[in-house]
Amino acid sequence: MRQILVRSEYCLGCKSCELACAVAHSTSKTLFEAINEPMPPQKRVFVESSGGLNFPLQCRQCLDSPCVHACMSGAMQFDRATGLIQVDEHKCVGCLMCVMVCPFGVIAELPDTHRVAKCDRCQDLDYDPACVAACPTKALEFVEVREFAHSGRQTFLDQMKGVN
Amino acid sequence: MESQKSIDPAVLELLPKAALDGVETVWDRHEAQQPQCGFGSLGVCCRHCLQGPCRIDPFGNGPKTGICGASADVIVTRNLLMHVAAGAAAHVDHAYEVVEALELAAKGEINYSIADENKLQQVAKRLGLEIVGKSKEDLALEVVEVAYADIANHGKKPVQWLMANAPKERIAVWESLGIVPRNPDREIREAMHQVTMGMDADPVNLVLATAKQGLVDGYSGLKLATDMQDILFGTPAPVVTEANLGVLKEDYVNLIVHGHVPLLSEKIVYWADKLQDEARLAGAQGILVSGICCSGNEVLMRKGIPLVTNFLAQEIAIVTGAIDAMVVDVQCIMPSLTQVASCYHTEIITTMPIVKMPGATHVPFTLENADEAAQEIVRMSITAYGRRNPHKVKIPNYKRKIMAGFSVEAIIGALSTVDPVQPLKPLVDNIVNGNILGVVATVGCNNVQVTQDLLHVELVKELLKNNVLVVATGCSAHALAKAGLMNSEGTEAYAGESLKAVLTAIGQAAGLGAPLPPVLHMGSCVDNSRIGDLVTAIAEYLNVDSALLPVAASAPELQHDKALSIGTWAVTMGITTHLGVVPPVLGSKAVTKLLTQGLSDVIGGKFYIETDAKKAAEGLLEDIRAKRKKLGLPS
Amino acid sequence: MSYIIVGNSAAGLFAIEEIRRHDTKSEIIVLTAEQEPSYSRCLITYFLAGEIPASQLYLRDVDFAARLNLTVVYGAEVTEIDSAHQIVRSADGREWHYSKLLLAMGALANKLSILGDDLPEVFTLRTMRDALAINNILEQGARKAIVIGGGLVSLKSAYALRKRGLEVTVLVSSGQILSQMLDAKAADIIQEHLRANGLRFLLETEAQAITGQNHVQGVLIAPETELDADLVIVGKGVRPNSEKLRGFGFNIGLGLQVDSYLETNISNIYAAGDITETWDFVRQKFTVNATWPNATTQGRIAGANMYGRQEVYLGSLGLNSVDFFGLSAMSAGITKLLKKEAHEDWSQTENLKMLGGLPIYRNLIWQGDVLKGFVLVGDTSQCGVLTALVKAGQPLTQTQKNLTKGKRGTLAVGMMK
Repeated sequence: MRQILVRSEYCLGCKSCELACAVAHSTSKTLFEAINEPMPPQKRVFVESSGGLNFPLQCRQCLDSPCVHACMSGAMQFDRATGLIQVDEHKCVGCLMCVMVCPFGVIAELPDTHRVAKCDRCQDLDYDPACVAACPTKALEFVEVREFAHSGRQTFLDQMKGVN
Repeated sequence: MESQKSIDPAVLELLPKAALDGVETVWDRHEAQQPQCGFGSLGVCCRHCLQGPCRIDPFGNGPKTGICGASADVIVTRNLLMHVAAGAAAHVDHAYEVVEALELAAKGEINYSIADENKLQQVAKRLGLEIVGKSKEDLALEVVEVAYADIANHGKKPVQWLMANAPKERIAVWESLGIVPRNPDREIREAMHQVTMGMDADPVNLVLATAKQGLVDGYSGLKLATDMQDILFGTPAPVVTEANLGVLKEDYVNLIVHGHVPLLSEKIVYWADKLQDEARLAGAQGILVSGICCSGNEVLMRKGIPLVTNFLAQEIAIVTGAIDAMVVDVQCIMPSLTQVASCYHTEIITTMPIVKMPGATHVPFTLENADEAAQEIVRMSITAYGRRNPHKVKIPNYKRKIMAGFSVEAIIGALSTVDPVQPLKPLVDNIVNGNILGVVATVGCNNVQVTQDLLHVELVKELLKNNVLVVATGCSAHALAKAGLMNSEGTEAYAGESLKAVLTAIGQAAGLGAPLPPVLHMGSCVDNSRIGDLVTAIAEYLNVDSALLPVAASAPELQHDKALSIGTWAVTMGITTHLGVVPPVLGSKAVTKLLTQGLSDVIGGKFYIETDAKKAAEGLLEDIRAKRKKLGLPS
Repeated sequence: MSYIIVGNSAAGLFAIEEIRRHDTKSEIIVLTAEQEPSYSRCLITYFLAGEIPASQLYLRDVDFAARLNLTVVYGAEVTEIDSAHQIVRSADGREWHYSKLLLAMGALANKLSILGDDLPEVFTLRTMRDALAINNILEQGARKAIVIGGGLVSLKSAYALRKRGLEVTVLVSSGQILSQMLDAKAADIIQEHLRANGLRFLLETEAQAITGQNHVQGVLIAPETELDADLVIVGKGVRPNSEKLRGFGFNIGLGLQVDSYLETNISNIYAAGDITETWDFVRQKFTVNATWPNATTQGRIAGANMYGRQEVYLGSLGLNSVDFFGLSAMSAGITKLLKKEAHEDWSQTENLKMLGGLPIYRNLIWQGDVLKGFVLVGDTSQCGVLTALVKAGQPLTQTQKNLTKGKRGTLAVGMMK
């Protein structure tokens, strides 16, 4: 299964992914219309930095899924069909227990409804993540893990070539 | 990561109060902005036309040119030119206002006088004007005419203020590069044209245009403004006062002047003194005027008004709860001020037609109504004093004694007590023999990206230790004042042995009974012209190109377009100019190399980027030693 | 293979789902004393507040039992366990054979033992039945309520009743609300916020008796002082529902004791959820951490081990979250320093600021360089990362410690370096 993977060394912190994410979760799906929607769309990817390191963080779809365990309304569930953890916003009551246990801090509160939202891997866009498409330096990739690892090894070898 | 916000103990004491009072400060907003866009930081974001915005991927995975075809080199240099032209525009606009003031004052149309006839004659002489037998008003009008002529120049004639004041060797270099400006307004207009879509695509040509803007700034901005201000308000002479938030007095009406142009703040100082009784009637002990940023520096230099704090702590000053009114003119005024003031009783008063803020009271200032406006403002501060909530007052007990007022005239005055015939000789001799290794000017702003004042203070301490004489202006001067580097004790504590001996000797000769301070406060940002004058005078005295002198400049915490512009001028003067905050140019390796290396071959000066204070000091010392070696001086 | 799950709440439900992940064939029988499919106890106060309909209390879709091929027996209160024959019996005499048994009967609400505690408008709030009964009283027009207790359930109840427009007074016997969950400063902030939103608090106040003949009239808090009330909710904590298991050979301490695979001292019998005594890895002692995430995690691991995996349960963690009138508070692990002299290498980093008129409070508790717990009020966005640090129990470098003061995500990113 393809995953959203990050090459943090390419992340310039421009937050294009954050903007694209919010737009992808708007009603209109266009930036110029989304900014006028009565309920401003909420991004689910967060570009954070620490020292020189930038990182676009979004739900990592953890296998031990503490958010699912913490959810007392049954809103946060593992979706067998896609292998993704999804929030049912109708069931969510905004207790924020999932926020409390998410080790990446990537579950956001929707300010208007007081419910939570997180990366749904762009369900509405046929699972074609908007953040990945928006990244101008290809710091975000949507690939099979083995492809990602392969290209990482390739890069390493290319660099070694310079050394030897 | 939470790094130290400031080294200023007064600021550190008040930050928790700000948090509890619900005040959002510049540090909070900086944190909220993290991470900041790397494209912008690298200078490879272009918003010059509506086909954009465009960005260049510095890693090469994405686009290598903008939609129009502009490369990273072009985008970076276009953006840089825009920054520097904007900075020049700010200073030229400032200078223009004071030229106007001198004209109207000379004509007797406004209530300003010509305070310094000597300076007027000195300026006139350099401009080649005949001074004998002319009233000061007539001479002033002739000087004003030259200034206006520059701005009204329609031909190819170079800017006269530059030709009259710049070192000859430099003018020759600038002419060879074709960058001598003709008319400041025209040059700025041309730069704005040059950066539009489909114009200049030659990075080298754009860098030269940037250098030209530096000259516009240096002579039609800084130099012109200082000259006019000295004529109108007097050339600074040494004054002693104090700096930092501890200067505020709990039982006084505290009125702060903040901004850059002294036209209003001079009047405020005058009327605050006149209206002391009204303050006493309101229950205060009196009115205390003190200053932030360069309005503060201007009235410090000429009137001995204490300094409150520098750019980054302008909000924190309000958090004391003891500021009754803060009157602002132009430049470096955070739009957040009214929001901060709304947590207290503080009145924010805007005065200029191009600086208004929702939530502030606007008292229009014109040259014609200056006295009325100043009185109104002083009275507003007295009224606001009555609304002060004593429970919200906390004035940190931190202040340092400072000696300021070191115009070139004042420095020469002090030196002439040692050698009345050749006053520069004692200074130059000590540079030649190595007692003074060199001179570094630290200038410019605070920048929230670095710990407030840290780079200024650490860099300067390191330089002093190595017997480098430091002169300072702007918010750098504030930082060094607050750190106790502008008094005799500072010389004892921080100056290297041979520097200490020189400063002590001059101090004794000048009758201070103590050493001169190790850092000489030369004034506001526009007063960087004074540093230029000093360098020019030394170069003239030695009959060498200023590019050869063991002199360097540093803007350790630069933030403003003006600082880039001033720095560019310093580079055109042939001076190595250190920047402690990385300017948005790294997205082009070629341009970065040109600015930090290549330029020195053509113009003598270069930018030197180093964000670590110790390393920067080492770099500057190395530069100074290299220049000494070239001159055959011991190092 | 036949699995029997006793209890249909958090632990039971997650155990069932885990078993079915591995074993789609075997029989699973769910015995529940209640009459409802799995519902969320934690949401009861949301229902009471009128924020969600009763239908939203259910945790899974209506076809859940069918989809997972479960046999659910309602109204089956297990009273006897014959481990020699692997049989459980209910109070009404029914019996079932098990290969693997999970005891997940949760906890019971403590009652008051004072005069008048049997009046019809006196409730504890634990089950859906309690909630529906209280809701009835509200719909009949109750105006004044007294909540006895200052803990989480009490305050959530008080909040709900206030939201329904009642005058609510909360009686707290100690000097601080939420004393299990928060430190004194955070509790003060929450109390002030609740007070500003119309709740009344009486600290260091005990209910002496509940007055009224056939209906509640009031609560006596001192011989001469009576507070009017139409409704009384008692929130004096819960106790593990393990009493009735005494006599069947189980090791019972504070709750039902288990090993690190969540198996009891009797083979093939597991326990999970609020009934269970577990190792609290922050407090470093055995205790009952009766919170939702602990229950679900225990349920999942017990389920896995019942199937035959060998998953180790590392222990539980005190973890709580509340949100009242737009101000949220969260805490985990150790939330206050006890007597200083006994805790020489313990320290706390406290921080309070105001943002938009609301307080932002944070208190991190350290033992040396190890984060042992925290309290957050206002801005809770970094809670998850801090919880992960508490769970990790690793000493942090000074740089990492500084990161804990930053905003959301900075910490997560900083820890990657």
